Amino acid sequence: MVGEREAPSLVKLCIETAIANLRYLGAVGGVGEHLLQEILPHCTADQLMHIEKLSEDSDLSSVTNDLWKRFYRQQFGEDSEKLVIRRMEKNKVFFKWRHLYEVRSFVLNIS
Amino acid sequence: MKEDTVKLISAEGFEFVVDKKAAMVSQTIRNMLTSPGSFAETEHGEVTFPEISTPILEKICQYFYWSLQFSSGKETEFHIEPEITLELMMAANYLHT
Repeated sequence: MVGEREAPSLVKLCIETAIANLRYLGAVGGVGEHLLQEILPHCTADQLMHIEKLSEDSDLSSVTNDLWKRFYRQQFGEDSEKLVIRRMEKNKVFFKWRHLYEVRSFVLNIS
Repeated sequence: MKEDTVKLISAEGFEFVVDKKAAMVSQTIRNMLTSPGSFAETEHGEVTFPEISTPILEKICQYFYWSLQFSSGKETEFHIEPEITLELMMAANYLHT
């Protein structure tokens, strides 16, 4: 019928509410990965760090690694990102981008 | 209990009697109610959710009725309290709602 619309799903409404209240988001352990994929890309670096620290019992890196890579590039530049990638490939050791971001921030703070 | 209602039972044993039509907004509950014999509980018009707490199940029942109203043209906002968002989202995901 004209004018009739299907109601938005409750999952969708919850995702929207979570995105609107990211600063109140804490531990997200147990939340499905496909749901986190919708929510976490809207976080700032500080918000994401906070959420991951509170969710330490669950590894979120499958969702967040690419987000941290993006934060790293924004914060420290594309050249630094490329250098890190080159070094990791050369040495065949791969670190999570969250870790790289933290270490680099720490080094910048003390120097 | 009336034919056209169903009893939804929370983790704590709290019972919500809702119209079948409303409960069937949930794809999961719809499947349970429309495939006779496959779920023992639904023969008595009861479904237990051991992983859904009472306040969350209550909110979900509110959503069922809100959803029916919405699709009949009464487009109001459904308010979700930020502090229950994640728990509600997980339950809604399970219920395909």
